[in-house]
Amino acid sequence: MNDLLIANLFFFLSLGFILGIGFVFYFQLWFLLNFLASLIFYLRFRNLKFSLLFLFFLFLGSLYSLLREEINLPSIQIPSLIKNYRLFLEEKIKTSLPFSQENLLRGIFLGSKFDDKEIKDAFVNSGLIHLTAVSGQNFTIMFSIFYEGLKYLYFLTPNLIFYLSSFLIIFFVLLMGFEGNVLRAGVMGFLLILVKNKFGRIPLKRNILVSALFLFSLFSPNLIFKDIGTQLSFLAITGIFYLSPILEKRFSFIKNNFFRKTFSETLSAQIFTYPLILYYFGNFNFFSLISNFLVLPIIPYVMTLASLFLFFPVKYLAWLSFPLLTYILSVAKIFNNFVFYFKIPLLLVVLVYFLISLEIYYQSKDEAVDFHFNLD
Amino acid sequence: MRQLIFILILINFVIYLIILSALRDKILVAFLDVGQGEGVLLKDKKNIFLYDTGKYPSLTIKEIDKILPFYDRKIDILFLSHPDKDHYFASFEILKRYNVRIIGISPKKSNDTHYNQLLNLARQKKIPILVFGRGDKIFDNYFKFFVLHPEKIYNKENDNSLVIKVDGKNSFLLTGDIEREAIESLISCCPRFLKADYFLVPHHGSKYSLNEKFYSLIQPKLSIIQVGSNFYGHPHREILEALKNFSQIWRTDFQKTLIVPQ
Repeated sequence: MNDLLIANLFFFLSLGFILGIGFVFYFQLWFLLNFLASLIFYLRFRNLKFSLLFLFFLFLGSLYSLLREEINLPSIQIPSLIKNYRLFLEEKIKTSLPFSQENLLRGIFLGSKFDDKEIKDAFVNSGLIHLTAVSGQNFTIMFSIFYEGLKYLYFLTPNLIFYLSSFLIIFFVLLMGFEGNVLRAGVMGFLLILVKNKFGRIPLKRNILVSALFLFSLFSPNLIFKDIGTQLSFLAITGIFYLSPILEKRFSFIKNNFFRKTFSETLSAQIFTYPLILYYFGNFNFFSLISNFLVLPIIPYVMTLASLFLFFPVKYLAWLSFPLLTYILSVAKIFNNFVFYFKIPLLLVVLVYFLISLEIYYQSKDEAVDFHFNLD
Repeated sequence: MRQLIFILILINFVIYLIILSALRDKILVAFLDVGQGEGVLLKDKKNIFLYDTGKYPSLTIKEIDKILPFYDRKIDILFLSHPDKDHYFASFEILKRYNVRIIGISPKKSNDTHYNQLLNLARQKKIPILVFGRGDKIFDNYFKFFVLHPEKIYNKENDNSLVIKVDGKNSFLLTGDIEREAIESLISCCPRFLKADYFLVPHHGSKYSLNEKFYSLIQPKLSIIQVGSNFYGHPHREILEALKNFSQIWRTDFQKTLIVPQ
């Protein structure tokens, strides 16, 4: 048994588990489909032992999704101290900034919803509403802020810094409220942190993705198939994993490291999420690309100020974020007027995706499925 | 290092912003567009007063934040004319977002649960609640407030509204929701005091507070009707026609917020 075999086994068994849930969710004949899937597996890899194991996990997934409501998982109680601290922070932000600015700051920082419909519509129309949703991206930014900040304390060893900032992130997740979407963002954020900062040995990207799906489906089996938010954020992460390194190579003419990175990450996340947005909502706003590119470089700075505010809740720190927040608000307001929806024919979308996947396939040979299942 | 420079630039920028908005700071009176409801903001160099808050918190607070500089988060006196939702309901959010120093109310006790909740919240926050009546005066270094009404407790809820005459460079008459009885009492008690340049038409222009003698005593330059879309038919046609003979009319539902610089 070598490492690659274990990694591949993990990949396929988790995939089997998720497929089992999916079959139950979508089809009445899930029973037959489970057998069919394992048959295909056998025909592809010609290994009876592993295909039986695959079949077992398919059924495990199906049964889990059918019996999930019977099982009571222990629910996590947030300590009241943290709840109160969140309330205190919200009050403090409310008393120190004007209405729209404090709404935005609470949205970016704590994931609160907009109180006002007018501002919310501006953010929806300009394609910036995802800023105020609790997202994995937020956690990664927060983590790197903590990590970089703790580096200034010279007496800490790198390992200690990593653990301390992980601890702070857990505190931050608890502060966000620990609902379904926070958990999702937490898992995604953690995976992104692992890949981006290259801590320890970098696992296969597809294993990371599949383990995220596995965790979600353990938490609530139908989440991936029902919740549009989860699907979108999963696709965005897939884009950042696979497409953005390729785009970064393509955009090597942009000399500034930071801008190149944000640009390619934004672009790849958007490219990956558009077909689903098209499928669900039927239209997409072309200008959201521009508005995102204008705003996203600012977000880390807002988050830096917010994370300082987390420990020193004084109004002067909130005032510092005032110009940045005003800038974001004005971008949203300007692009609110430029709503330009257009329909893309589905065939074109399919073609574009075919080309993108070809590119990804050739560029990431090391990720290709290469099985040595006959090793025993 | 780059982070530090960025933060220093930001601090610099914010300081300039504060200086700039402090320089542009003006004395003004604003009749806010708060939908169906009343809300008047009075602001001089030092103090900020609010007469009624309207019903919808986000509308009121957005309007106020457009006028106040971003660092000014206080209201020195919040007058609540009477316990009607379209006059006080946004106060809950206002108490959360602004540092309110004093709340001034009319003497009539109310059974309205939300109103009592509001007063309890104020007591919790240790904000003094002052009960005003006829004859009370507040002198600020710019504005002078004269409370003209009520002198006793009336049967009708609306007649117990606080009526305040404000003197600055111009004079303002803020009337709340007063109706027939209260208007007659005002005419009989203090006819000389009623004269005002800017007249906030009582009860969003309801025909039950129509009194031509009242208008002739006030002699307004501009009559302001604070109104939004409503089921009562405010402002009534009778009022609009009667007011036409005395002054111009400003409607906040069409012409939005009126700012009177001083």
